[in-house]
Amino acid sequence: MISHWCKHWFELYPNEPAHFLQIIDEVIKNEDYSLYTNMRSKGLHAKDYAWPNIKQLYSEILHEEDWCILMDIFFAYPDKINLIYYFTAVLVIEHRDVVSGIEDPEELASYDFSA
Amino acid sequence: MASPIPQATNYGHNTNLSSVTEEVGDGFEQSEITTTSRKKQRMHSSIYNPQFHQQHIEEETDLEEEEDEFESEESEFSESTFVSNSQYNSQYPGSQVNAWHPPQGWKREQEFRSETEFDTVRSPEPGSSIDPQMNDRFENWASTLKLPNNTHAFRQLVKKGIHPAFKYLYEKYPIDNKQLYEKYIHILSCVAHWSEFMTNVEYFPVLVFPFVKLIEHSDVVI
Repeated sequence: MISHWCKHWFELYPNEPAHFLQIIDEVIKNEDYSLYTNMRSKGLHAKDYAWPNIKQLYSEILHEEDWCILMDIFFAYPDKINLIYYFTAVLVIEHRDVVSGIEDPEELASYDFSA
Repeated sequence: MASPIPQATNYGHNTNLSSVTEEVGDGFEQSEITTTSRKKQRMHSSIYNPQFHQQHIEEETDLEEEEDEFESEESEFSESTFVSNSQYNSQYPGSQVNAWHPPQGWKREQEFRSETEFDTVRSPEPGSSIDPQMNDRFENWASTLKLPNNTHAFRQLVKKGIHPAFKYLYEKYPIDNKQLYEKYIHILSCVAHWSEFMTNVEYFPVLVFPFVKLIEHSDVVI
């Protein structure tokens, strides 16, 4: 698991893998441009709100059953490691109403998306 | 040649194979004496059992080329292929062979289980909160990811003990469940022994914890 999915995380250690987190911003930009501009105006970047969850593999924000289902998907497509980053982008777009009202990156990072 | 260090596998019997030595990391290496005695054993096994000789002639050739033949022993441990000690000693007067024989119903995996509790494949505990269906899921994960299930390497890492970096793990991650905590700290130590770099990653314990907590049936899978 670590050697396959997480090996890129340590390339820029101790900094976060900015080039992969950029994927999240790009996906949101392509799929929901208004949300993207909204988040940019508030200074919300992927490394602020997404990285805290990604580095824990979403175990903090998902319930046990949901987390296992998520791992099922990751393990079913071992050749698509970017799914980890797409998942955050999908979560943010799916909860765009809530995300639009959040201004603090930490608040967004701790938001329970499974609710 | 490898230096004599503790036995690789204690088969639980007094044997001349107990002199099998190992080197941590690179796998097994055997002393010349052991290898020679084993070759003798195989040679004379083939005398008494011609079928054995035909079936395993290729493996014997390989043995001469490389000594690291530990894995191939598995296929050869059947009682019919071994000569009893008394037979051998009567055939060759003056020799004092005390060859090892697998006990009745011997299975290598079972021996591994008795080595340490940290590499066992356990059935779900009675008071376990994990749904049995979840165990099926974890087994599916292991098969999907084609995990090597390298029990031997895992045992070597467990034997190294708790890594100094995680000695005071309870201060940062207080876990009430003692059993879970011990399992957690051993898994972390294994990875730390495997790669020292991981001790520097502050979020690594959090990353591992869900797997440690949920996957109860086998530590090797983690």
